[in-house]
Amino acid sequence: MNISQRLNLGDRNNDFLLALAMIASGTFFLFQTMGITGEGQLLPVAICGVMLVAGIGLLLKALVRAVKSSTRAPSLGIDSATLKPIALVFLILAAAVLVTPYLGYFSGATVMLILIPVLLKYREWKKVLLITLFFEIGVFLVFVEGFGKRLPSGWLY
Amino acid sequence: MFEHLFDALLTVLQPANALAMLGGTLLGVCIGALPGLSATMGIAILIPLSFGLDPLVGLGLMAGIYNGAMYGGAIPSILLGVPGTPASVATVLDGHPMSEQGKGGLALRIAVVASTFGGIASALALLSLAPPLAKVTLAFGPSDYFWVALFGLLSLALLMGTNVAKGVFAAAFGLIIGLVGIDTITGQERFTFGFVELTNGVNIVVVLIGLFGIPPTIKLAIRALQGDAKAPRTAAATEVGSGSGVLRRLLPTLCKSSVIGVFVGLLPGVGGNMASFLSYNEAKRSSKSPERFGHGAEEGVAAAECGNNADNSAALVPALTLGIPGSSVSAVILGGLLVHGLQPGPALFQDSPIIVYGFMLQMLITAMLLLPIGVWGARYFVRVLDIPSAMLIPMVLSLSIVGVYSVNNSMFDVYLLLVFGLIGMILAHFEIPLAPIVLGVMLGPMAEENLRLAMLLGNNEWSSLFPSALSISLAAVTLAVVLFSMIKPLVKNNLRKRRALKSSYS
Repeated sequence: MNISQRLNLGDRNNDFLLALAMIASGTFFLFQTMGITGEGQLLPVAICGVMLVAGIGLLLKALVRAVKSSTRAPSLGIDSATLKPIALVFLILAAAVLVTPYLGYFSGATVMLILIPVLLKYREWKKVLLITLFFEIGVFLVFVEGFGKRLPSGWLY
Repeated sequence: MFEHLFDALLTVLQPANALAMLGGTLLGVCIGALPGLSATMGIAILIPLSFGLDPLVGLGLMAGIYNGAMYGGAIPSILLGVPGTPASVATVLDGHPMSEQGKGGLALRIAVVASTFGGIASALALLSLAPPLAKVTLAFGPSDYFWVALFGLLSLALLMGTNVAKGVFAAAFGLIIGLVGIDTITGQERFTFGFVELTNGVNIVVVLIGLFGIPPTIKLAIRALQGDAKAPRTAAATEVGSGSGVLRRLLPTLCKSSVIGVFVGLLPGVGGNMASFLSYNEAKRSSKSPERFGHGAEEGVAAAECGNNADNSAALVPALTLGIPGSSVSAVILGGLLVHGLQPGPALFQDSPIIVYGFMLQMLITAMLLLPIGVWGARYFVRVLDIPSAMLIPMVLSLSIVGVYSVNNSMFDVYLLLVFGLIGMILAHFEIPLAPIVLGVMLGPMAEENLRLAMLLGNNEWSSLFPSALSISLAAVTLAVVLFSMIKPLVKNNLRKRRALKSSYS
């Protein structure tokens, strides 16, 4: 059992963890402002101060709630059954983005248009292929032919 | 004003603009009808597409999507009991029971009439309130603008959401993003982390699509795994029935809900969801038979739909006149204006009157378009619900990549999109409101520039922030927002305790 759970800080929104993240990001940005000099430093420092105050405020609130509350809430606010598909879809998006400069937009998009339905247990292959084809033709006609935009190009296009 | 209005009307009625409004409204209804997608997301993804278009054509698309999506949310709310957009939650309460009683078609007709009524009332409020307010703001100096920016930011940060600390953090985070790049006065780099691509700042489109486009789309994965619900098409959209008597009876409800929606829209940080619930509660309170509410009362559907659509244009009043959006959708629309090189505020009314009056007219026309589109197109829009989420997710994500890349032809922006998408998902998980972040990005540079200018004019004395009665009043209003946000939880707690005490006695 981690400290958050032991202190009964693992409520639904996990304010304790969030407060620590807020303080960490405030400190990180405050550290970044050290490289700025003169008038340009005024507002960034003030903003970092506000971030820290917000984080500390939330932390205190979470601690007070933990002390007052008598029941334990062991959940960390992240349901793994929900998190898994979301994380996997995001990873596929990241993979598609990373291969795009090497293979080109259409190859990256094809990877995504086929892998995501597979991941989400959608098994109508004909529909998947047809939608992929028509979608990519549509993007080409609207963006490249219609608006004269450039799309990321690579080894395959 | 009337001269500009007439010129703008002639412009918006040109074929390209008319087509954009019609297309935008149709697209908006489809977006709203898909649970999980919202007007904010639709507009955010559309912004890059509108680059190549004339500004008014692009704005016509946005106006159509905004009004269309607000009505579209009613379709799954009524037929499936699943709100299409956050603002249509109240529509489920009576809309779905009506559908279960075989009156789905009537509920959809009531929803479209109510949405049109509310949308028109709201657009008329925008047309009558924005121009005079813009004239007043012409007298604003740098210190006034600083206070206005601070007021807008604080009101959204402190009043939106349930937790003040989270709202304040969101606004501060947005301000930091807004400060990324080279300081225009000292020439120093700020928060660029050594990336040359960041010296010109973070593109607002990347932030908008990253925060509002990626997280809701990826969240659709859960719905896709659970299996998409199918709408009972035959019973709902194709059945027309005679509703004219009912609609006449609903007129007082529509009038009251329009007033509530417009008023809520003018307040920053409240939003269509609240307008919808307040209108619903008022309709229930003033009804002769409140027990019918929740079991398929026509007034319930009318009040909820009219309320959330009456909020639409009214929320643009502070956005267009002061450059301060009152909701996440108006923040995204402001982003769209910025992308087209249009700086919202009083100068917009002087420099580009045709565009700003044209946009206000587009809000009115697209609200009117809802009626024919909703009445004749309901049976087709229902089919949108058949699109499998498993295919919708990669299509929206692909469009996001194309949109972001096409802004600067830069893969760095696409990588940044991933970063903001991830940040958006984390923040959404912790229920941190996203609108203050966007407002921070947009208002940060404006607040800083005016603060420095005011200080410079006043020889670096802090008193230079209060040079006139107007500045003092704006500072007082800003302080009042802070005090109100501190008192609000105490008042709520007191009320809760009193209620608990009363119920224990009874």
